[in-house]
Amino acid sequence: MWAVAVAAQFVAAVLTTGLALAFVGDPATTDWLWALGAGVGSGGGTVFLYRGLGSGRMGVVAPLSAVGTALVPLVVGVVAGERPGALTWTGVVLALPAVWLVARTPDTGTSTSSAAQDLTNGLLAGLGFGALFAALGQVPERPASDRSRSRSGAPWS
Amino acid sequence: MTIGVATALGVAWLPRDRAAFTAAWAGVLSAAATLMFLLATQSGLLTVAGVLSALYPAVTVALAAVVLREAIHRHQAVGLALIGVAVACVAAG
Repeated sequence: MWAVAVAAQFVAAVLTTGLALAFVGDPATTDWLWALGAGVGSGGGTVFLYRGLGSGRMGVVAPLSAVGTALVPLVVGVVAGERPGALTWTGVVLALPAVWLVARTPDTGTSTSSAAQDLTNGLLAGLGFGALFAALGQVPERPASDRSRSRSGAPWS
Repeated sequence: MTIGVATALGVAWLPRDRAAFTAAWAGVLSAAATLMFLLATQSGLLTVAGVLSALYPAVTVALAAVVLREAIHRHQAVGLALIGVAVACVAAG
């Protein structure tokens, strides 16, 4: 299980670094901090998801992590001032119970963890992956030099 | 980070068997997903890109049904249908 996570993340890291070198940007210090946040979220999310799925009830851990993953960027986006239209909101609100239903699998085998541990693992996994998405979303397209010249006041625009 | 936690927990993390190396393909897809997500949030809303990306378990369940011939439970089918409606709303909105 851990070997699988390490192999996947190692390859992803090598490829992403390659892509970053191929498309050389001009990242500002804040971009690096967001990237660091995304990395911590991704690694932490993986650890807690695997821990939760490995020892706990999949039917609790998986949907909690899925809904958390959706909620964090949603809240961050809205707090940052994003205002999606009514139809988009309908889709977003429908998506939350939908992903809960899809991710809820019946529990097979015996669980070696308590309900509280499952809850913690699921919530922390969701928080981690959600933080990954939210942090990635903060990295703007325009290079840092361009941004310092024409600051719109919104770091995400 | 994963290596750090695995070492702290005292579990083996070095990929040795075939299954672990097959997971390298998951890394390729993961890197592609990161790139797509960056492109999505640079041209669209984080609220939309984040929520749509978080629907990834739907793909897992659909693939399990199609490739592994696993049974989809009724509540999962309801969830998949709801996700279809949700994505259609977001795409139209």
